[in-house]
Amino acid sequence: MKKLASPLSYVLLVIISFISLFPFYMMITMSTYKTEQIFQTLPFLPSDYFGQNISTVFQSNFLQSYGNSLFISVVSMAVCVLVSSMVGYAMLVYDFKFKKALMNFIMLTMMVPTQIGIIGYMIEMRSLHLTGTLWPMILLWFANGFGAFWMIQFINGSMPMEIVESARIDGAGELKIFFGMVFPCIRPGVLTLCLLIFLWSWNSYLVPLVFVNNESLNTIPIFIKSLANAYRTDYGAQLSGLLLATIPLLIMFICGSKSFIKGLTAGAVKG
Amino acid sequence: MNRKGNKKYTILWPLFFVAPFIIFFLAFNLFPILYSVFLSFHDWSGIGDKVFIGLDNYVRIFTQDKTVWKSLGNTLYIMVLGFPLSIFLGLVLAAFLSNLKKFRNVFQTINFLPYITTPVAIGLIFTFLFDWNTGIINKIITFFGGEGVNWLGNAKFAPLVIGFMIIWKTTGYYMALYLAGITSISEDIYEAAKVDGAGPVKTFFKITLPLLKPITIFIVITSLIYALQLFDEPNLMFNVSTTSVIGGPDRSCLTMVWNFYDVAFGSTARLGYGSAVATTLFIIIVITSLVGMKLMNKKEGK
Amino acid sequence: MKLKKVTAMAMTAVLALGMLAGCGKGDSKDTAKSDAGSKDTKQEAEGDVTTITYWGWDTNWYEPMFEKFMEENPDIKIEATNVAYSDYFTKIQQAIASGSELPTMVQQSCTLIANYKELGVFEDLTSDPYNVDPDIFFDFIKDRAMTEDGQLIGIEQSVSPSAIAYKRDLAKEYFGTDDPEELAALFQSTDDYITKGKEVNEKSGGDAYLFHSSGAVAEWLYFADSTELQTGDTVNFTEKMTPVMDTLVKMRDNKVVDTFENGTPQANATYADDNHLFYPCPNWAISYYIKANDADGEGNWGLMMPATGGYSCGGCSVGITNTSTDAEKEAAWRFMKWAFLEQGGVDTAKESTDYYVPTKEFYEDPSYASGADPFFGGQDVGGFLYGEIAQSIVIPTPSIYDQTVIDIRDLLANAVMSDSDLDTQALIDKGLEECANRITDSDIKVK
Repeated sequence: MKKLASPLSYVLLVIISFISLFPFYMMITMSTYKTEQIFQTLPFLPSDYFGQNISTVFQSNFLQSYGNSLFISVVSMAVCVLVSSMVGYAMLVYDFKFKKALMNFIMLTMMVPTQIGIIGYMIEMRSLHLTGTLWPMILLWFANGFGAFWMIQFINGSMPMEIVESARIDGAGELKIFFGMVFPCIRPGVLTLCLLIFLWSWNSYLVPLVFVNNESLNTIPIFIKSLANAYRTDYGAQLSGLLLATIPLLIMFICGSKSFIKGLTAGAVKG
Repeated sequence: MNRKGNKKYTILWPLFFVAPFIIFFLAFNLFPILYSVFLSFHDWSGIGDKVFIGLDNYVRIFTQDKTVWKSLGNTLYIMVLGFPLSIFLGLVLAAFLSNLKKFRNVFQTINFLPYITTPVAIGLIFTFLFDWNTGIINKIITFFGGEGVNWLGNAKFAPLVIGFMIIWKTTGYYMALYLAGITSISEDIYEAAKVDGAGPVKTFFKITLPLLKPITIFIVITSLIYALQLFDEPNLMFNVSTTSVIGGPDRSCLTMVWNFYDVAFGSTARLGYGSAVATTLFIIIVITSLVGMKLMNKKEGK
Repeated sequence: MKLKKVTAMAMTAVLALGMLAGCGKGDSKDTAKSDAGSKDTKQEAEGDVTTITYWGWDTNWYEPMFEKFMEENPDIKIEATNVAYSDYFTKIQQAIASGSELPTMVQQSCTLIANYKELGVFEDLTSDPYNVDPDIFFDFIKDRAMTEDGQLIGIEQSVSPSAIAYKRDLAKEYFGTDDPEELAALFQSTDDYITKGKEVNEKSGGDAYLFHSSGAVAEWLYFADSTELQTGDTVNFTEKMTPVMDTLVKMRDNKVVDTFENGTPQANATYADDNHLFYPCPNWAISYYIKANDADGEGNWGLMMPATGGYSCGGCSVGITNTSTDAEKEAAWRFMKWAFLEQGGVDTAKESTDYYVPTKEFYEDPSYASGADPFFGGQDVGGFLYGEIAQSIVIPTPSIYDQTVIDIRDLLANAVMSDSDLDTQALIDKGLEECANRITDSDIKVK
């Protein structure tokens, strides 16, 4: 193994990293161009139009879209992680009927794409009078098969049962054990799942495409798409908007990077 | 404190902790699918009354509608183009990376970036890169004396671009997962292998790879799910102008979900028929999932 | 332990906050969005301002129009939502199926007009209180938005006479003249485009093409052909598409048309380059394509008669949804009346977007539709489009398969360029197979 760490692996990694970064780099430089110029030159070096592009973005309801996306992602993330952790906790701590069946059920749910039910979901939201609000884009994240599976694996692998046992002997209630003791212990797993759910709901495209039909409901991806009229698309503005939209994800990932890796190790490896 | 037999611990508390998930799942995930199944036996455009037509929609899917099967084929093809290579690359990179002392975090963060990029951005950037006349890829090719390729306009190449995009997007994610796995393997095992005189390549294949099997299964299954749901990127890449063709050149990038979306909401709204297409997809996915679960259970047995 | 406790508390607090914020926002939305009845009372409380909504893709038209209208009518507020053209009909259908509110005014694309008629969500503008007499509009267009039982579901936003735009400097360079009449005399039949186009490409050493995109040529030839797409239960695909594909194949083989995909930003950037001469050009393309993409090209453009004669391409009508409240309908109608039937709106559309209404009476004033356009080197663009071309247009009866066939046409136009082995027959076969997959009504025969 050690011998593989030759200069060769550095070279390979640098090449791959370059490929990973290249489109990003293009996104950054192209966002500094006026749309018409993007196609007339090779936009490898930054130009001077970034300010105008950004002001175009802010002239439309970018901030509201940003707020909507944040709201959707934060609520989806919070509820999904809580609900998933509860399932994970129950699977570790309790013995109950249908436990095995529930496990199988969760694995199955993990594999069923929500998009398949979107017609039914649409009709359901209609009868609940939730169309025209942000809720249709949030509710379907609440029970996420992947999330539940993830937390089950994680709690199983990183929570010693003894902690719960001894807490019970000390007379702590179940809720107190869950929130006060278990939750802090499973932080890396929780953070990893938070990051993933936030990422997925932030980037979600199909569901908002169906439910957003009013500018006040725009999410970032839909907003970016709307920065175009039928015959001219303002790519410069779109790209600078996208750049701004990627920032929260970048911050989350870089800050949570350590926990994230820890979470991955425990969640996926032990699974 | 004997928990066994105490109803509080076998029924009430478990129910309390499990209920939210079950309720939310039934209400917002399963119910819509079941309702779609119900709709699939009807002819309905979203307005007016639903007309019960029995199995007619399914008869059409299985006897007439080639697009459904073409889109299934496209999806599988794109999946085969992209995922095996990205999983393999992820593994190899992780193996290299695990040996680095410096820059490990830097490389990992850089290569993870594509995974967090919004599909809208990916679609935009890739159309810029791969355009026939003005794309950077073709400019590079012609610079070296080659002839530009009609990447996005030719049914042969368009799926390759999507495949490449998948590799670009997911390699870093798989690398992170594998790296997590490799670092969790105890050094003692490697030391023991060294003592036994195993070379690095042999160690990798005989020790590392088998120990990574759970991760590999996890990755294969999640990528399978991701592939079957593919919609955002192809749609955003090939739905750029008012005259864009649905599904890209010759509909070669029309994935199952895109086809379903188009059938249900496209120029002729057919929610009933769309539901039937969705139900068919659902069945295909459940079957695939069951196979996947078999694999997972096997792993548990080990 | 203490630290853990604090984190746990913080976590719970965040969760709780999220939930609270969620409810708060949800509630306010709910009240704003509840049923139409309470909305009316709310509006009255706000000083009698009626708010109506509009979905559109044509920002060039609606932004100046709404601004001017609201200035003159402070009691009406129009909220516009920009919806991408390609998503538009989908969104309307989703709104109907999901029970979301439809906008008060809908923009009905002419290629989907038959589909809009089937939705049954529009007010009949010939009845009370609108009482529009369709005969006030140009003959060729007055029936387009009319259902079989005589309901008028929308008014055409603008007539869409189309011709061919060209770059004057390039025309001079290759044909020795930039005069529209002299150029039109050079191009008398579609074959002339092929022979002349071949010369252009050869003369330029392979750099220059007569047209930039097969899709644009296909659109022009398709709309210039007045063959009915649908007669009774038959869709005449082969008859309609064969001449188009024939010409495309010849153009490809003789390098008359370049390989850009119509409507993509890359294709739009060619408006400003020196390698593409001719652009099929509907009236709306002047502001959306030419002026938008070649902002520095003032004086370098000209407009000429195509060999096919003038044709009508694109355009849309505006209708009022019958799900709106009476107050909304009235406000919407006041806007439409102003925009299409009254001098103020008609002039605004002309000045801001070069749109000319289909209402005949305005053309009685000869200065309405004519005047020198400096962007076109002083050519009388309006007089040419609305005086000459608009009078001679024949348009086929709309079919609910228009958009489907147009989508297939675009697919074929792209296929021609990407596979040089495809001949007309192969293209038509491919098209018929596409029809079989996409035209699903069992009563309909595709020929």
